[in-house]
Amino acid sequence: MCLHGCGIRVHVVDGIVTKIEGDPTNPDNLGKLCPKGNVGMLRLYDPKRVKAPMVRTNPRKGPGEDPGWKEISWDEAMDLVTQKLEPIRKTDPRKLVVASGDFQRIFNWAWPAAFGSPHFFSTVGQYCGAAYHPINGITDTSFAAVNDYEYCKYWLQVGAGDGFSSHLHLSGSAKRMADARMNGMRVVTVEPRMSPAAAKADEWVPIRPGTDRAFALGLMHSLVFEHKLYDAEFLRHRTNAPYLIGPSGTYALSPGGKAMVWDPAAGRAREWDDPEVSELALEGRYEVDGVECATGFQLFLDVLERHTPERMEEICTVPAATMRRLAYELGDAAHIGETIVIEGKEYPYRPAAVNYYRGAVAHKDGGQDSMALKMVNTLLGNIDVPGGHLGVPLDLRGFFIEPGEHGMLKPQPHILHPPVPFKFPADSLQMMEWFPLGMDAGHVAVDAVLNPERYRLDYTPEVLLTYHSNPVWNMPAPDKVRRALEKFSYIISIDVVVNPTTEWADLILPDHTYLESTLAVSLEPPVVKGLALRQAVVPPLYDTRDATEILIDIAERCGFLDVWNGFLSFLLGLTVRDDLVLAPDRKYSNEELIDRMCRAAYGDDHGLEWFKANGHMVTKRNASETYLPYDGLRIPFYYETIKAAGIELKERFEGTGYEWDTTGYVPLPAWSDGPIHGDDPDYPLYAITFKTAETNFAETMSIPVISDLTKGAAQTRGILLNPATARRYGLADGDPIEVESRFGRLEGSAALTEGLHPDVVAVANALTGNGRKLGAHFNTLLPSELEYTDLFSGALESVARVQVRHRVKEGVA
Amino acid sequence: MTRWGMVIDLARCIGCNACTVACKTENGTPPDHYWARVYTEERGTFPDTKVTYVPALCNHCEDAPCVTVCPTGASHQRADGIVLVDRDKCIGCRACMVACPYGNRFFLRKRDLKTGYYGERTAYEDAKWKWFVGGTVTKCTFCVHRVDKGLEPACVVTCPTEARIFGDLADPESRPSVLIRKRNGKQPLAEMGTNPSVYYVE
Amino acid sequence: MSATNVVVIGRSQFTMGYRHQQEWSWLITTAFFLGNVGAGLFLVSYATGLSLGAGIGLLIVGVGKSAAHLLYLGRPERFLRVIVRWRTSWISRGLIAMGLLLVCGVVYLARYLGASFVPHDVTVAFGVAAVIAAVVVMVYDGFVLKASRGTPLWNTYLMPVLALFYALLGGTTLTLVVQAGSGATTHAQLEWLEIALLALNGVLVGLVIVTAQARQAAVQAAVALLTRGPMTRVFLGVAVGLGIGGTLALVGVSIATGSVAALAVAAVTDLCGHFFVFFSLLRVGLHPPLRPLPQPVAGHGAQAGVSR
Ligand code: SF4
Ligand code: SF4
Ligand code: SF4
Repeated sequence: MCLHGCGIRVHVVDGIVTKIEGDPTNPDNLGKLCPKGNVGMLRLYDPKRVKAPMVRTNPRKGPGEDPGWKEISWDEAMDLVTQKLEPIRKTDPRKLVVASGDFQRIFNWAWPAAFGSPHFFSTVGQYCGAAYHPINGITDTSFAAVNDYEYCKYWLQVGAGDGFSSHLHLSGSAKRMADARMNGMRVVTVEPRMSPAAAKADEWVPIRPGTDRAFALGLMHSLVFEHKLYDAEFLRHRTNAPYLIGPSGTYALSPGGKAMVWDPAAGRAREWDDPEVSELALEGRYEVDGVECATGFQLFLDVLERHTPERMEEICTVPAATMRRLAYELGDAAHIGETIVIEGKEYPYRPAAVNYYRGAVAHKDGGQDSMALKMVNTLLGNIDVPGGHLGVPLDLRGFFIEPGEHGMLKPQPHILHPPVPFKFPADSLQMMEWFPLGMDAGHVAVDAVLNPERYRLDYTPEVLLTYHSNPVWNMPAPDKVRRALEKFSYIISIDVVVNPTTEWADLILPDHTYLESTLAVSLEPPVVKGLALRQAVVPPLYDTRDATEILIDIAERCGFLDVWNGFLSFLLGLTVRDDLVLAPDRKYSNEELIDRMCRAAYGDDHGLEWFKANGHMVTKRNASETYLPYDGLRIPFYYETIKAAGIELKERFEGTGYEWDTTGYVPLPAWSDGPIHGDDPDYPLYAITFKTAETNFAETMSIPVISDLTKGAAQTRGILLNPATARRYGLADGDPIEVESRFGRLEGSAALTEGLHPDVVAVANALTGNGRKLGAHFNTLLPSELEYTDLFSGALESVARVQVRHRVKEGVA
Repeated sequence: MTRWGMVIDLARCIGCNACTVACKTENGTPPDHYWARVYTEERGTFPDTKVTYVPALCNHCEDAPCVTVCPTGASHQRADGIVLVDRDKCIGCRACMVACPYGNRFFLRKRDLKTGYYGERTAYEDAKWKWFVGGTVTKCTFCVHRVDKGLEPACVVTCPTEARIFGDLADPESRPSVLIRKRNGKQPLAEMGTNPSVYYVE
Repeated sequence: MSATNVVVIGRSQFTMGYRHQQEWSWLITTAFFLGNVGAGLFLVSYATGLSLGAGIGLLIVGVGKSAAHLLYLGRPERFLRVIVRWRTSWISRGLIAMGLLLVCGVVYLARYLGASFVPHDVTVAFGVAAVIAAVVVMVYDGFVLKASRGTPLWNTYLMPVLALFYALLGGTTLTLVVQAGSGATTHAQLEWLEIALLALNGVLVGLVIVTAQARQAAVQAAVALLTRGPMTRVFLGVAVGLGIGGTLALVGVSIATGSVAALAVAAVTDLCGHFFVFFSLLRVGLHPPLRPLPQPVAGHGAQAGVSR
């Protein structure tokens, strides 16, 4: 129902799933369950499920066309697939494009790579984590991050739903957050909208959308220059803040190729690990061998100086006085200098932290947004220490801790897949070759399919395979996605129910639902670790097959089973034991794979059978796994890695004659107006979207219990507007309205609330859902152009400038 | 004698509606029957806005107007305070719905049982809807089928923030009794004289 | 309180505000109305010795009111169960009284229908019993409303009083019509009674409105809907203006000129007014919000009493 893995117990009465409850033995969700988890059986019994492989009989595609589905046998279906894919695999595998959205079976995301297809034609993180994950990975090798529920006492929440409505493991997080609040933790929520996080906070600070970086910069300005509240010791000894930076923006290196620091006692620069360094200068500009250098921290101060709270107020609308007060509260609550002993070990104790996510960073300059907010934490010395901001690994593999260069922790921006080496022209439609640090920007793939010459494509994509993915719905500018779909000669979909994209498919291969299939998962667990088994509780209702086996089958038929088995061995962690590694030529069943995965992780006595009987191996992470697991290695304060990557990328493009903007590769955040900022008389308002606890992806809305609920619920009953704004446009509650951006428009009814910044139009993703009735699809307001994309991280500007009007009064209806 | 009751902690509730949905799937309630639900209450004007999520369910009132007005005896109260509707006796006159100040009763049309959530009945609904009789009134049962087995109600168990606390109000040391005392629990619309068994703490 | 700041949220299960009772509408108004005027007609005809009127009254109750109830019930086949809870439920009491009225009324009328074998004493006894039952039928719906604690507007003894006097008024009106229609002599006193009852009911309706100011916010909100909201046209226009004002004028004309036509029109306006008084009272039955709403009401919920 979402991508995480709360423990559940399922009641089956006379072969029918009648109830799903939280598993009280699982320390992750502690028996709690969010609305989505509660309603999972309705996916199983959805009459719209695909009940057998189906082939299209009506060659015309498009809205309003009945595909004329005809059920066929699996053999026939797989023959069709082979006919289409085998020649491509043999000639130019790039002609197959895959859109994957199955987060739980995330190992299957590598299947296209095994095929030889480098593409990603779906949303991975453009509107959510694209700018967030790389910064986390570069900072402390984590995938996600969240404040310490156990020790945090001052939680500044910026554009995130953690603990309240969304993001990591909602059920358990909500419980931990509620307990923390009841134990006196102060929560301040900075957000344009009165979300649950804001409603429950001790203070709500409304902010203009897309300006969170300005807020963070103002906050840091006040912390550093006014309150002098920052953890200088942490910066000196646990980060690269004191490292000397040369004029190019990268480390000034010693003749031995090592980063240097300034030793004020000696009055000269020394290598960072020189045992004679007694003191480290955090600030200052120095001349080293005739070259002007400055410490990373000094460069930060230089940038910060310009970002006064007053100037930031003009951008983000948060009063300067509020920024100053919050900066003081935060810095004061951080207990800089104090330590705490947990499980016998002493750690810095910093019980105040900024927690941020999608709302704050899914923007054109998302990389900088993410960096700025992370740096508030680094400044307070709270990264990965009790009470602070803690990294969360992607999966069972945990953190990827390796020593990097210059005493630093090795940055891990690529946790989802290995980096893709630079190539021009690129092979991948999303130009992954040109994103040395970022994430796959699926919307770029759409743009590339429609404008191959713009990207110098030297081949033409032919077949699209969508796998639990609904690009028409999950990508920006859906009209463009539809036009892109027309370019494919054949579309194959692996899915559970029919959705707006499978309606374009030529062939649908039906997957089991999660209640009919087996899998062991551990995804982005904030406080726990360990695999949990998701087991089939009822036999498949229909003639469906496990997607993992479908993909293995295709691999065999197209002659790359050996490659795929090799990938799987790696992805499932089987390489730890030779006897578990998959034989190249054998076809394994899903259950065999899961069995090996479990045994690889926990030994032969913890195979699938053990998991079937016992459910999970989930335990709470202990202190040494949670706090400073990389103790002794430095983390970045000055993001030199990013600067260096940008320089390298720029060099690579030289000589290609191709224009690719690399100015987003900055080592320190600063404010500059993006395409959605500033006065825009035609489109005066800012449109945002948000998630609620009962919805995850748009597909949740195909469950009628959920879509019914969202019709009435205050946050989702309509397009939200502040009453003052509504008055200005002559709108009343319930009025039919139209919201228009430069890129598209949507319709809905106005829902007025005082819990919204007056500059804002807020559209819940529940309105966007693909329930039976098409709602107000937020993505229609968004562009998929590069101008709106962060070319460092791949993030897309997820705020749109819009105008609103009455649909009837202005004759739009 | 036991008097089952609940305290709802408004400081904890995040308005996630897990309870709403858990009740739906526990009891298989048909569309629009929200035995458990959550109101959003908004006060003040921007930026001094205050939003409170107020979960609701049948209050199992000690002096229940819904029971008094029922002409058939279908609506009745058990000795432990739980107010129930006997689906075999209810004639669907809906006097109880009008009499309940809290909107905690729902009328089930016969045709609603035919269509269900998807426009056609599914195996899930077939299994779940054995308990429902068209043309009668439904309401929260305080999950008697669970409570009688020593389990807590579904909405309580699922609540991620533990905002719903169930127990015996007659026992002064039960969790709800203690909370009501310590945090000055208030009954909803106490002025109606219904003496609800559900209390709210802020 | 003005209607513009009454947040009425209709059926919504999720936003805080005054909720409309949604269950009792046309059919229940019809049932109450027919019970009222049928029993009233029986009573007034009994008092004036107009057996035709009494018979028609029984028919209205026996056929009209019963049909409305049966149509409304979710499980009509279980109708007879209503007698079980007479100790607490006014619905139970009212419907038992309705049964009694029908049985006793028929026995009472049997002699007039030619069943001369019915002894005189029996006729008298059943006649008295029928009258008592008729009075109960005339007032019980008021008590039903009074007992509905969930809708504070109705939670006043004014409701049974209003029911009783509207029933008497309706009975009087219909008796006049039956008299005129059957060519029987008209009682001038009856017309004056009609005028008195109209005036009295006008006062009673006024009292409902005026006393609201001293009652709960939910009552004030409901009254605001009646007087300054979406029900105003029906309530003030049809129920009060036409039903009371119009009827008074027409009856006056009838008394002055002896015009049967004026009387006939008066009957229509009166019954119409009667129906819509109760219809509007039912429709603005507001349940209070779970927690008291702040003033002035801001934020979500449809404004100006528009129900969603
Ligand atoms: S489940 Fe708990 S937190 Fe969620 S809405 Fe219900 S009472 Fe509130
Ligand atoms: S809340 Fe309503 S339904 Fe429940 S006992 Fe009280 S009056 Fe009856
Ligand atoms: S106690 Fe049971 S029936 Fe009542 S609201 Fe909670 S889950 Fe629903």
